[in-house]
Amino acid sequence: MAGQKKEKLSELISSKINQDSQIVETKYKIKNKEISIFYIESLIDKALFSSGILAPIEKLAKTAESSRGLKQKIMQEVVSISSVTESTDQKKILDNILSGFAEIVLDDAAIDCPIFGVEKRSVVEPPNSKVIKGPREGFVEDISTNTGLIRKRIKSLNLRVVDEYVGEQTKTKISIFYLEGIARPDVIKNVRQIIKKINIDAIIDSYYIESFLEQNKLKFFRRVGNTEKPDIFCAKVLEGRVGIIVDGSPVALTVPFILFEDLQSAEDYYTIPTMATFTRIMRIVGLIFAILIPSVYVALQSYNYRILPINFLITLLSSIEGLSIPPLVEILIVLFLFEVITEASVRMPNSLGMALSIIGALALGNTAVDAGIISPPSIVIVAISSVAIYIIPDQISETRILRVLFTVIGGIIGLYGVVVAFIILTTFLCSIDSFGVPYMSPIAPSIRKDKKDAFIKQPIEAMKTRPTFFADKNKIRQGGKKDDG
Amino acid sequence: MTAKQFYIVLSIFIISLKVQRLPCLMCLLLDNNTYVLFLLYFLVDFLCILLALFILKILRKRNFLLSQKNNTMSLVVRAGLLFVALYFMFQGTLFYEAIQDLFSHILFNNLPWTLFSLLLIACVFYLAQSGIKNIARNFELYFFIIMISYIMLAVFGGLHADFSVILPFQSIEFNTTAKHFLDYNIWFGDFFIVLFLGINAKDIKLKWTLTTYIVSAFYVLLMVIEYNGIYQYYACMQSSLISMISEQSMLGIDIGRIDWFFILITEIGSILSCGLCLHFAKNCLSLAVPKIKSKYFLILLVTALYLVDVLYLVDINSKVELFYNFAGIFAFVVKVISLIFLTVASIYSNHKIKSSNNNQQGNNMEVALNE
Repeated sequence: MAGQKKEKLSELISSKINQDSQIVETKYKIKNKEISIFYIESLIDKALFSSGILAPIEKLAKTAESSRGLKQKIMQEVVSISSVTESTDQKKILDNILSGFAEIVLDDAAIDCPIFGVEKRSVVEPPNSKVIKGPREGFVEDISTNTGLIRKRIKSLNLRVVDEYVGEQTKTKISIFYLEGIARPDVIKNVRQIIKKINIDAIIDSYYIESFLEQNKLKFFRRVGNTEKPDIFCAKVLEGRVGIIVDGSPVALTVPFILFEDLQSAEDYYTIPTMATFTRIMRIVGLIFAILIPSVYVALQSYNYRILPINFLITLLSSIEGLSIPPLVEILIVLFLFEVITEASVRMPNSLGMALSIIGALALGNTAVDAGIISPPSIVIVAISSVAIYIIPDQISETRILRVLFTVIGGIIGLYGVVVAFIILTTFLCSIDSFGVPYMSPIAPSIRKDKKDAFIKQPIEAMKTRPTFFADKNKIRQGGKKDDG
Repeated sequence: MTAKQFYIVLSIFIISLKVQRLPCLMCLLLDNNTYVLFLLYFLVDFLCILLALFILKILRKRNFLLSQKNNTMSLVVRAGLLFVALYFMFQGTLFYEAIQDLFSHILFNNLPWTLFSLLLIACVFYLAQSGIKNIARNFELYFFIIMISYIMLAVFGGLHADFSVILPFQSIEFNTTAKHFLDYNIWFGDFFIVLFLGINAKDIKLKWTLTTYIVSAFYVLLMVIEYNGIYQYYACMQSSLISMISEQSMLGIDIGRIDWFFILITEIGSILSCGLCLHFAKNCLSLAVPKIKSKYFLILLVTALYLVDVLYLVDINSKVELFYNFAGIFAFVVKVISLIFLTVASIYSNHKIKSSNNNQQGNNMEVALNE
């Protein structure tokens, strides 16, 4: 009976995998028993496989006196791999093989040996989040390395990690991190429910999960935070947020998310508060400039030129003299050119970057001005706006779209349109939330305690409590009761 | 709505309604005595606000607008709500008309308002539809820059104002002022907004509410005196205080009209206040007629606002006067009746609460004695 079962299990697995040339089956006979080892060569650590599994089993095959209690013997004495388990479920065994396990099948069960060993990128500073001061480690594509980077920073028993597997074909591992007693239970429950409900064939990157977590059709103004830096991730989890890490992605997600997070930078916490305050104000001004400056320029030129000082107006008029196209069309042309150059430069090989800059800046810019198609002030305005856009890299997409929208409104309706459209925008921003947290907090609604980390950055010792909306019960950061965990 | 939001909304609402067309209209009849009428209105409103806060206190304990039995409202209350909705609609129209006047006639040269008004209508609709919480957050978001703009405009105005226009005090014509007391009451009656905001706000304090009101009233008075001090006998010829107050200070300085940016920012307060009025009007209508969805009421209200604006109020010099007169009489009736009704109902409710508390205490004592 047992022999039939054994045959069935190894044969069933063999029949399932016979189409896949990558899966290797190695057979051994120990006394009267046959054992099969299944693995995918490209997924395993070959050295560990050879020294920890193959060599001991070969030795056992030569020296074994009987086949009694073979399974237990292999598990406890022969295989020198940690965390070896036993499986009987055929589906689980197959999943394990596909995940980088070596499966030793004998009798009616299999011994799972986790020997995953794919080449992985080393921990380096993420190119999009470089800092002058502060930690330089960045997440990598390997989830266990990322988990280690987090565990290294939060050595608390309260740190909970819940694993889920999503994707019919990819079975991607997703780890949900939160601090018990600090993160809000409703947020944890909500995140877990959303992730459990995902029914998709593949999860390639964390953006897939981000898209499901957004839960709004418009997907404008992201409501899920993301970071490539473990120190930021840990700081957010410590504030009471829920963190999500996806296997195969160096970008970790955090919820709830507020707009102000994009105005903060990792370096704000590793520099003097005055400097952090200064840079934050610059970022806010930069964001407003990026969105509004082309629209205000067009509005002033088209309708409200009386606002401008007379000397400036004369200079402006002399520089746009002879221009045959209306200001709105002119600025839209410059914006369009800028967008085209940006798109091309992102996708162009590095070696061609210099050539593109010359063509973009000199040939297109100068020649267009000389030909009287566009005016120098328009180029200056779009250049200021375009530089300002990159002051908040996480909001680039939204800012670029809003800039065009506002420019059109400013060109058609003038400053009146810009003001009204801005109110509509802020009403929208005030009306949205991320997992129950108002998107514009701590400004609207105003929360005095949380403002210590808003426009004016307070020193770390002044931030005694966690942000009001994120933390559950344990809101005290400093001066609270010491916890054993 | 938080208490802080309540104070912010209250202050911006009070200021933005009164520093636009009203002082220009008043100056036509009262010249330099305009500020006296303002003062008189503020004093009356101050007393009414005290009453409104008392009503709010009772309202929190027991909502007398809803009858106890069927949880439905009586016809009288329904009718009252319809009138209050119309009152808020009128106030919303005042804001809308002021915004229109500023944008289409003062800051712009005859903007084709019939078309461009649609954007403002869309904005007001979106605001009113987004609810009191979002409107309050918007007020909170802009509060700082709006207040800075108001202060800057007051400073610009103050540089060229002759404050001695209010002197000598003996020259104040109390009789003429009192005669026109009812003419402009649609712009006043701030206790209504205290009442409606107060229902939605948590933990509002009497001290801070009154302080907010006094500071806002003081600012309005200052602006009116400055305005009279700048334009004196020509004050009645201007069409809006807020757009004209800084004009003189900008002449001869080669910095352009940067005050326009401040004026534009203060108009944000007017737009938000207009949205707030429509929101309250919509709420009153949907309370009075719960069978119809509030969204439909809002569509009806904004459509009416748009049509009134482009068909009737487009001629700001003649028909607007008629509107002001009618709205003034209507507002007076609504305010007086509402205040009397709410005060009587509050006193009655308060008496009931007290007597039920006494009965409860008596019963407790009886039980204690029996035990």
